[in-house]
Amino acid sequence: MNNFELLFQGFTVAFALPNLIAALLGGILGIVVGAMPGIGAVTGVSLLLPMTFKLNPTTGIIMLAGIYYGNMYGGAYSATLMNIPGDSPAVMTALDGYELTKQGKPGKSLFAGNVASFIGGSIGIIFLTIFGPLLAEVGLKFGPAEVAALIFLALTSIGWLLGDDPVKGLIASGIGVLLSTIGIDGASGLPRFSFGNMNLISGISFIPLVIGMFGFSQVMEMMQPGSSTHAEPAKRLTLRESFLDRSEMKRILMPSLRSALLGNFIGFLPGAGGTTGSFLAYVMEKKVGKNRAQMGKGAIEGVAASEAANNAAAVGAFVPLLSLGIPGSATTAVLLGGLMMWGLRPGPLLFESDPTFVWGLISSMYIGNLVCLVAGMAIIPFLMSFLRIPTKIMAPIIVIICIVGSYSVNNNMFDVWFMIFAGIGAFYLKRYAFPIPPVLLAFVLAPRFEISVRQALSISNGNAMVFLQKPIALGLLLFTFALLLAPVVMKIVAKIKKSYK
Amino acid sequence: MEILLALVFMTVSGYWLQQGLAVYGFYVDGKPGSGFIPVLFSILVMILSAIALVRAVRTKRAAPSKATPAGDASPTVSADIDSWKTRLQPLIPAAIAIVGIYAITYLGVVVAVALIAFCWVRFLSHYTVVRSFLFSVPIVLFIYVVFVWWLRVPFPRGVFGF
Amino acid sequence: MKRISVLFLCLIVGIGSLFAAAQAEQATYPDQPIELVVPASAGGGSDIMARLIVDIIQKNNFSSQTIMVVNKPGGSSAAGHSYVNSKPNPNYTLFTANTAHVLSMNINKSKSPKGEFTMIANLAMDNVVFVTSADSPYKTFDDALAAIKANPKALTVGTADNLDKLCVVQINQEAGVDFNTVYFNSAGEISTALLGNHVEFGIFNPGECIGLVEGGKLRVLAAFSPTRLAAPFEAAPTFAELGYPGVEFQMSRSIMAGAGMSREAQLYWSDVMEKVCATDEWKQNYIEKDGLEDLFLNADDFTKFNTESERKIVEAAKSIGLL
Repeated sequence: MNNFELLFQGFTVAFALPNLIAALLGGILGIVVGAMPGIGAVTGVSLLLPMTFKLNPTTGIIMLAGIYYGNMYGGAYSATLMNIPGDSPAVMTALDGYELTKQGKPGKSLFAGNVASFIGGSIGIIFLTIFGPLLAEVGLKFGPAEVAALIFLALTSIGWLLGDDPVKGLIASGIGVLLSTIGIDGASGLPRFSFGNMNLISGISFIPLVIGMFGFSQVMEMMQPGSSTHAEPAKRLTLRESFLDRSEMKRILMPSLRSALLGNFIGFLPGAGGTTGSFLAYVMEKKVGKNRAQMGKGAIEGVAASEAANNAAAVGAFVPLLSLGIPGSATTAVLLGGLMMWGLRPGPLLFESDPTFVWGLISSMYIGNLVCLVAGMAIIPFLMSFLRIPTKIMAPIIVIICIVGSYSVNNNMFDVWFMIFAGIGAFYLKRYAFPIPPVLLAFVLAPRFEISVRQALSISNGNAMVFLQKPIALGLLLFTFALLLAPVVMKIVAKIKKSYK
Repeated sequence: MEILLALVFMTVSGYWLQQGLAVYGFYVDGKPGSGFIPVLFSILVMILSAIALVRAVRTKRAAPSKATPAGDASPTVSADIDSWKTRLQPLIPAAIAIVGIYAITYLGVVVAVALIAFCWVRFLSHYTVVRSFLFSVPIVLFIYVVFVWWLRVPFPRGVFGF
Repeated sequence: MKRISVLFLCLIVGIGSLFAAAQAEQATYPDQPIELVVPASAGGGSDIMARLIVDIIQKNNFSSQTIMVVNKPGGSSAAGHSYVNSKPNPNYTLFTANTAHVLSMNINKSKSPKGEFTMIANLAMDNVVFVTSADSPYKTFDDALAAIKANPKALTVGTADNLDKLCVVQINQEAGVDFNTVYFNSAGEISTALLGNHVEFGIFNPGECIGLVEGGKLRVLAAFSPTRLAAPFEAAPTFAELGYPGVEFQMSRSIMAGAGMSREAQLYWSDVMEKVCATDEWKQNYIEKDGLEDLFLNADDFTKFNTESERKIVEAAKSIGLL
């Protein structure tokens, strides 16, 4: 096949020594930046992009691919170790990852995360290699109505599936949606629920909210006398313990593969992105996985599902960028700027007009992914030693990182105030069994949901039937209702059976 | 407390509903307006928190002696949850963080971080002065190197000018 | 023990003030990283321009400071403006602006409560085109008109800001038709919707659709410019040619900053932008490739120019009831 020949040519370029060094350097830098709370992939890539201008284009792109992957790997580390997701896709990783840390098994979570990230990334790249532009065509089938239905599926299952009590879960996601409406309304330009505050008019930022609700509320729990939220491992954690044995590798293999496929698919839909991907993959695992009962209580499958899906989605975002010139995520938009700097214009013609570049980039993704796996494994012992720090020292470190991290997002003290406020709120919500992840996920998904619903209704001139006339949207909605009604129906059936007896 | 939370949610969603309908508009010119999503979701939150409220009142009536909520997030703390000390202790980080905000604004990030780290380790965790010093120095160095020097986050400059 | 900790605190403060003395001497503007706010989402015209500017500045070392592009999409640029307004120090935040955003400032009242925004420089003049997908049944603008006349409101035009909407309203008035409009966060999102046949038409700047037009995915039906545009848009007639001389727009692309920026900072950035506009990368990779017209105006000229063009666009909006 022609594609593979071109890919092979790309590899011969990518394996030159300076290019390998660039990939390694990029991977390590990316991991470090990705692990910093408050500095997400977008900031990381844009800070490091100028560095690559001094290199020749191919080396530059390879380094960028390393940075991009490193970021995706790194986000999982702070989520696992401190319960502070570095970026929104890592929210789902924190659920099981931090739980494993509390049980004294952080190494397992980091290891599983690395392996799953690698699987997710690889599957994404393989799909990109084989199908490329074809995938973009599928993505285009998702217009406003379809995207709205997809996010509706995610939104409803959030509250339903996380936490023990569906009512509280749904309240939590409702609160997340209401919080997201603070600020300028995307469609009309009207400021909403701003209470006349200049900082609220520009809306609430996600990162301070996450840092507060996860990290800060965690410290508040640590301060509680007799709390055991942060186990102090008495013995030294060895690297060997963190390796997954054969049966554990087997346990994460299928979830990773499933999640990677789903994540990759969602990645190339317009505007859905890694968060939706990792969330839906987690939900799927909770529904169909072998170990579903343990999900949320420290299951390596949970970490694997989330990480595989968000890495696959990150690659998926390249599909519309390369084949249509439309960046699928904020990070790929930064890369678009870089490509233009090298005089390339992504678009339908790029695959034909610049095959060396495209295939060089794709082959560099394989290398970037592999390098990050190696770097990620090598960094585990270092991360583990971080956990030997006792709670008494850990608490101030986390508080300082919370403050500095939330300030860094917008360079605005208001975000720090908001972070503290969110932390206190989350602390009391958690105490009364309201789950926190639905608040955050609803907050991330709601703006896209709102604009898609309103676009769909605008196109149809206000006719709500538009959601039922489009086959994909209708299918997604039916699936949502089936998902919601299944437990209720089962209960009723069980009751009837019981009463007959 | 659970009742209070449910009431807070109902009030908040009530405000969102009122503003959404009266100020922003549910449907404008035959198309959904700015109040469309706020109205729909505030109704949802309102109904669900009403359910939560009813349930909370019922369980309280059923077991008035035991005020501890059923599904406590961390079961280990439920032992003496009502004593004032345990109630206030979790708020210490919040108080310190607020002090930290002012410290960063007026003293600059390096001094502020050093102060928070040192005071916390010394007075809250009761380490010796020497050890507190040993612990806070790497924290300050880490924050400075990563956030200020490398990532160039523009922190406010305090009276010392950095 | 307590005495020692007090001593330690004094030590920190002491070392701190030493640092302060050393730092105070070398504080020339810009002494902090700069944010360049794009009030639209990634992939649109403003975003492409902003990223190219930053890359040019950093490659050629026109400024010693890091510049970060920050996307704040939503509300036809109002979200971006309020983000700029929320910054305590106006000297370290720039934002991309264009005629559409200036119009939105008036419609959404998103100007700063602290006063007028600071004008930095005008970089270029951009054009506007009316686009459909390549496989749509509308081969010419007249096909589209016939279809919408037969079936009012059934065809939808994707718009990304108020100027786009003004364009559509003007077509509606001049031609006596009723195109439906729907808002997207950026032209990138309109093109996705167009390619998937979720909307029928879209309003673009040439640079936003040039790749897809060359690649045969999109077709330009008409241009809002005074004369025909260069390749690959040469086939599209102007609205004047089609018999609607009243429908004509060009937009300025510029850089502005928050209200109350110091004169020093304003001139500094005006200089930097002048250098950017003189580079080959700018001329070849942007102006030429994206079908713009070169028009650099420095801070003072641009302030005058903007007052005049703002008055004109607001008048136009008022005359058709948008304002």
